Amino acid sequence: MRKAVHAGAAGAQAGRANRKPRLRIWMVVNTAMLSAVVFGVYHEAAIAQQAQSTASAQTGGLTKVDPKVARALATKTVPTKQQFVAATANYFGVMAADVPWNGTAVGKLAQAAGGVAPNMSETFTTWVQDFPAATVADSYAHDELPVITWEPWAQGGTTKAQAKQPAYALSQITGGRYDAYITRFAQAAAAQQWPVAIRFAHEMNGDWYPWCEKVNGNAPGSYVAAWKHVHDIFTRAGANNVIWIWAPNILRGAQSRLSLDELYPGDAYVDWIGLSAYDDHETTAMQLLGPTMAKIRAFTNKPLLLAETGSQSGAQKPGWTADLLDWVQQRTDVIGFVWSEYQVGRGGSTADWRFDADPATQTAFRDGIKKLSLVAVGQ
Amino acid sequence: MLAFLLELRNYWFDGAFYPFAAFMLLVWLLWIVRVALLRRYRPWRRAWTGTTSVIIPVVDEPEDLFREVLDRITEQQPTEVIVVINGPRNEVLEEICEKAGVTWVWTAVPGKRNALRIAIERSRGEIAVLVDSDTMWTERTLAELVKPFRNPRIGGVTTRQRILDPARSVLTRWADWLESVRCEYSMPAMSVVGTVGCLPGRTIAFRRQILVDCMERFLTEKFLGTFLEVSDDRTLTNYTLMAGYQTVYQATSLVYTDAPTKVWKLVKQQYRWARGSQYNTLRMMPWMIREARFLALFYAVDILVPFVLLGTFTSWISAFVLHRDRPAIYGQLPLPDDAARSIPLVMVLAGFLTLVSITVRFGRHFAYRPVDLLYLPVFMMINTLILLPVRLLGFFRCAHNAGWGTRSAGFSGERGFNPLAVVPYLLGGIMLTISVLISA
Repeated sequence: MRKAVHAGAAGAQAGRANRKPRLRIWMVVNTAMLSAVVFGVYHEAAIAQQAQSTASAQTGGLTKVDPKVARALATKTVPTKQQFVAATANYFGVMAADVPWNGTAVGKLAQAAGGVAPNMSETFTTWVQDFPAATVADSYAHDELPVITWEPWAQGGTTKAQAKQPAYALSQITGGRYDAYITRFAQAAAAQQWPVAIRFAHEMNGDWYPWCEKVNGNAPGSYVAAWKHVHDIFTRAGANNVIWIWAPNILRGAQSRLSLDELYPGDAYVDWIGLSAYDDHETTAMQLLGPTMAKIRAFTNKPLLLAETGSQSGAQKPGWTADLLDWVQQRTDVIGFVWSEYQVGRGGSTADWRFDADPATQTAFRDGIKKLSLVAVGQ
Repeated sequence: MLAFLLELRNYWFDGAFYPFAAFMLLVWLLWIVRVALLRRYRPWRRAWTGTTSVIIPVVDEPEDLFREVLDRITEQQPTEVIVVINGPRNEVLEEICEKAGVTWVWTAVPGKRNALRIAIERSRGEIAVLVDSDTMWTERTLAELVKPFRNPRIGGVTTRQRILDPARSVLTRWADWLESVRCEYSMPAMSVVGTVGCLPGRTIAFRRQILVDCMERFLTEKFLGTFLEVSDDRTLTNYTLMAGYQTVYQATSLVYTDAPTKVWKLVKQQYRWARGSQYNTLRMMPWMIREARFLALFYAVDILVPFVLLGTFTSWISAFVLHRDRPAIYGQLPLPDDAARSIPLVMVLAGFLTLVSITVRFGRHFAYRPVDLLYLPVFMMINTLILLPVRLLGFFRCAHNAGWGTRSAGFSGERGFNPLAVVPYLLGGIMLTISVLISA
């Protein structure tokens, strides 16, 4: 032991002589290595961030796609607009809280529908919001075709007082006041490539929105002009992946002094017809939809989607629900529906429209939806 | 280290606060402070001649070892050597002392403090050198050790300690690493400002008068309602500092000591140190804040570190178990999509970064013992699984005096309820709660 200690001491003394250079080299090499790795990590993170912010600038800045969702989508092939437009099967859409953003909410709906998952989601975007790229991504992440109801105003709601907004008069749109915004939105829609259905300025035959004709100073013909103006900007931006849904309200409740054919921009500007059609007391689908369908089929044969539907609570609800699903299955010109899963007081709803609001309706819905063959959105 | 970098980045861009990042930042800042200080450290070179009394309290020690210890000391011709055998009589040791020609005293009262009192009363040297009975001096230990006393303001000097033959086992390597880091970083840095907070007791030299003056307090002073007979070296250092002297480190005075080779012995030793050290930190804190800010800072961090780490680990485990999700910070990196590839990638990168950062932070050790880098994972495990819980437990129990793990024949503690013993529990409870809450 004595020897070891002496050797150790001698070693320490001798070691001290060449101590400095060795330590210096060690520190220089390792500090350089550490700096290089730190730089590398930050560099990679910066590149990833850059890529993300470029993507989000293209897709509208405000709505960042969750990197996880983006990665999940990267493994899927982007479908074409044509695949959806030409599909002969049906769409089962929902508009509901947290859909399509929250996978759990989507799953619960599928469960309520007896294990049939919706293949379409509908959401709302106003003209103070950029293109909702995250919503589109989340929708596809759950194998749903996104329908964006694009409202040319700053707020939601459906009171007549809100219809009076000169800033959002149709002539303002046609006049170019919002061209920069529309262009940015169109470019973002194009950049993200995934097909997206846009239901622009819906329920134009009502009197509750500033884009309805004969209210808010909107002259006859101004709706078609505004539609074409917006559509043309999308065409110039190369947004060929947009499915255009022209979506009036059913005649019941709408302005009787407006005729639908005068509000229709023409088949060249429209892919699908959408209808807002809520069952109130009607017992069959034809009772609710017949009169409006007759008018529409007089000027266009475009496929029809019930872009908003649901049934008021009441004795008629289960029967009407069963009949509607049969009707959708039988009509080759009707491609599907978007069910409003809102109860009273939620999402601005005045009634409980849900298909799972009572057991009888839910059973009717489950039986009906089983018989539909649905478009496979996720492939 | 990778987590630290990414958390810093998140803080920079999004203002997200992470306690772990704050903690790591503090660790690096303190490292920079230490390195800046220690660059000014120089050992004392000019010789000093004065009288020295070497004092060796001993209970029991293997014959050969003790003979060797004594021989090495007497070779260096101190003015006197006083061995105090305390506890049961030990004729073997007495005989060794006789043969070596050193003074020995026997006292039936067990305990190091009483032994020191007896020796101090008998000693005559200007400088009292306290030596542990298992500590091996090297050739010039004594001559080097007393050099700083040329400066009359210096009251206490300590040696550089090494573990004897550290390659024996993982535990001795680990102990050597800890000692080495202490001798290469904290001690020289604190020595520069004249406040080494704890002159390690294997071999320390004090001006004898300081010990005479503080002996009464040393034997009786209570704190938090208890008299704790552990950490004698730290306590004596405190008294020296409070008497207005400087305490310094003499790197050229080298001693060798042994380290536990059994895990349980190591746990007991660390527990004893953790209790004594944290007890003394609490006791000294008001004085340190007034008189020695650096010291206060380093010791406060010393207590806080285990709590912060525990909070961080808790939050990591809860994130993993409850959310089954990798921490979001790694989302900043362009990682492959599937977990089978991304998790190993993150682990390798994180491991490599940790390794390199440690080679930098402890360069003064690893530059000379690069082989120890291979043992780094084991060192980390010992730090996390043994040192961390032991330090936490030591903090909570630091005002209990019923001895656990001190020398078997030592002070056995007073019986009875001590209401102030709850103070560390309260403090620790608060720190633990805050740490877990912030991290969660």
